[in-house]
Amino acid sequence: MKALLYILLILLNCFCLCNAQYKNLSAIPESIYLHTDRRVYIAGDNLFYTLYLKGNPGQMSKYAYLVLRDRHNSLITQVRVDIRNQMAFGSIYLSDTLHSDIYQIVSYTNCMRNEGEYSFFIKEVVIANRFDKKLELFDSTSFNGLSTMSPGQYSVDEIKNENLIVHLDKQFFNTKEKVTFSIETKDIPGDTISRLSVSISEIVPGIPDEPSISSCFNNVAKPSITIEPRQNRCIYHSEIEGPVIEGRVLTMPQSGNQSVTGTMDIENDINNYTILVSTPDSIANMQYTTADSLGSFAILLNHYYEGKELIIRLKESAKASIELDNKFELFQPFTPSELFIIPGIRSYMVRSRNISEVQRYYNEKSEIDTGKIVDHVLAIPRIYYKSFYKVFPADYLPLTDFVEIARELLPSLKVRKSTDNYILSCTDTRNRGLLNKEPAIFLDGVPIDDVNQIINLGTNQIMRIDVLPVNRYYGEMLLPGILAIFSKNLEINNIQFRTPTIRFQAFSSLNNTKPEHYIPDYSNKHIPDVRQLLLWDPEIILHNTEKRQIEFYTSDLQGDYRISIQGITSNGLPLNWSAIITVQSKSN
Amino acid sequence: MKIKIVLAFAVLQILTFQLLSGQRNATSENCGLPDSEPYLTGELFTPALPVDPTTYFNSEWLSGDIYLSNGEVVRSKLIKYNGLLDELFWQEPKSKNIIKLDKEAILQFHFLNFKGDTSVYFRKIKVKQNIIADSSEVFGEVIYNGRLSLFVLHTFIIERRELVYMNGIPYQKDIYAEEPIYFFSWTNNKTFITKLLNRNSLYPISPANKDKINIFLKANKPLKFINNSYLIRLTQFLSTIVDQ
Repeated sequence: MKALLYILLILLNCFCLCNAQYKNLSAIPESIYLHTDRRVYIAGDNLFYTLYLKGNPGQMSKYAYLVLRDRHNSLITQVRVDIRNQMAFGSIYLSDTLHSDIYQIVSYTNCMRNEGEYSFFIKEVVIANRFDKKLELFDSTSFNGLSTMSPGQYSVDEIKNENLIVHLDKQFFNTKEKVTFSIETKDIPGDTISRLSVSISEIVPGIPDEPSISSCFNNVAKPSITIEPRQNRCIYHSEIEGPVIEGRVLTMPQSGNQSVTGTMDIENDINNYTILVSTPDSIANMQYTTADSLGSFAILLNHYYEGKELIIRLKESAKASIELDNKFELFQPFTPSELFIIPGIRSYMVRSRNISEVQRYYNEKSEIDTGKIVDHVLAIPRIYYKSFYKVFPADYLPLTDFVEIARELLPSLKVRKSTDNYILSCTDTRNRGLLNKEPAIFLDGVPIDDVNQIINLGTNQIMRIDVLPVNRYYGEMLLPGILAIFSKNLEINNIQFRTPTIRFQAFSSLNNTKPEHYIPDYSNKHIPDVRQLLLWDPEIILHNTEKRQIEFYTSDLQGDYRISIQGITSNGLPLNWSAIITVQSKSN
Repeated sequence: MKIKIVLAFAVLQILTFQLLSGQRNATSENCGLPDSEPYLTGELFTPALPVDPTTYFNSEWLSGDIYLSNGEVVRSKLIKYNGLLDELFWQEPKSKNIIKLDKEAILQFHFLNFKGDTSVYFRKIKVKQNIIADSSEVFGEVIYNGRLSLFVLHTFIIERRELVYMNGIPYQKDIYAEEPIYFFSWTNNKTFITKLLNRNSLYPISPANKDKINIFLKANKPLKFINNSYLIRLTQFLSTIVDQ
């Protein structure tokens, strides 16, 4: 009996341990896979992509960041994309002016930045400039001087096909032939939605297959090098609910592009600064947060602010500066690998460049279908809904400054001069008392420091004045009355703030775009079809065991093409399938 | 001795489980969310005379969700609704100040647990209470939501006045009595307002169906106090006899 009791206790203990360990391990770190339409581009092309995200179900980031950089680590493109249902797709325009070189695409979520840059998805692409006739960098005589490969680039794709069945009846096709194949999933549990992207593009001879989504998500291609995350930085928050702005309040002045040093003296030893975020608008608006004892802060940005110029400032006077976290800052330098340094690359690029010239000549550039715009419910963080009284100064005789305006038009406000400064006070008309502090002043929707900044505004510059002469609450912030002034010419842009302030352009996400599906027009027989990309479909949705027909047309270009299908199920299972087809002349 | 060993073992297990689970929680917190709650807006409530506590729908502060007109939801806030003032109040947690929330900002609010009932919702509705006045927005308790919806406006009337002494100074105190207003609303925005639910008050809803109304009222005699289940039955019945 005693032995049985002990055995039971030991078993119970094991169960508890395993259960706790399981829960501990169940937090899956996020990882990204980026499927692109091609690997070699001509400057002026669009780089089409589909981004897949793996992570904890229901707790995944809604935003990913895409960076295209050159070997000098200059950022060519930096964009944010909205992730819906674990994926995002779109395109990046590759500017005409890009020089011929190897470029790197880096993709990550804000949460992944906590793991360090080794967890980011990286991929190299080649871009050739149309006017670069020599393409010296890819000349076989200059191959020796190039550096070693980037981590993970030479990994061999070990998982070729997974969870997908593709019914393709033959391998050899004629030029200008309509090709149809079907896709279905296999070994996938019921009630699953699979999302796929398909690319059919001409193979660059000599370049190994790029890692599939399976190898990426199963961590096959990850390097063994562990790069520590940057120290002394604020911790990066998951963007599950919305975009997050992070930063720090630095009490010692620092120089930098995004820092503006405050000039006021330290009034008291404040650690927990209040950070105010707002944008110029015809509605007084604001979000705020409090920095922690180290000065770090994070704010979940309202969608209303997306793409707008933000004015971020401290509420308190302090000898400090605000440093915003730059989400596109990469610390690991990019050193191009030797992946593309192969004998056939130059001739392939010359061919691609010539094809591009021909397509331009015939104006045969694939059109971009602007897909659905990712929109959100706009909930403006308004400070107030209804003012006690509104004044339109244009209705009255001209007054030269705000002292006169307050005296003549705003009975509850009083502006008096003390030494060199003006002080604004407010009478609570409802409770017939004087409010303790200066009311909160908003100019063009943005909170400003004090009345001295608007004292020179006369009726000619002001469009509307809203006054709320009562103690108000905005969340947990007490506002001892509100004075909101809306100028005719956005006078907020001329304001010199006294508390540390920065201006920041909030990100907005890229739209979902994809190329228009190619349908040949045989009425114009003199126009050659020289497409190297036969098909790019960034979003194919399969429900359960649905079978989907895909069709495309081969072009006039003979050669080998790779069909690459990547995808993910709603359960997070990676899907991939790859095969090579050959397009040959009918006479062959 | 045996019991002690068993107890020690059990404590050890609990500690191990908590320790390992705690590791996970700590990891997820590092990558967690910043404060994301929408802001409630309103003014500090400092009435010249104290508000009669009997005019509050809920005498104690209750936890509730507030649905804002911009689509956002503010969850689990201590709120009180006053029927006399038709205002929603929020107890600001830091200062414990009472904030009269901006009515314009609120679409509806929900008491999470009002005397055991988890389905007490108030919605802002547009009401034209008399011919002279313009229509105004008031909060009404949602009793039934369907083809025909019923809202109850918890209004008060002055029942009588009493002379009371405060610090030796006499003043007249108003004694209020609740006088609910029943607000029926059809999906085509047609409305019907009544203070009473007797035969004569209900006939104008459907003059052609006076008999049916009589039969229903006879069969479903309300108790002394009209409760919500009766109101729901009545609304369901009326929706069957009234063509929109």
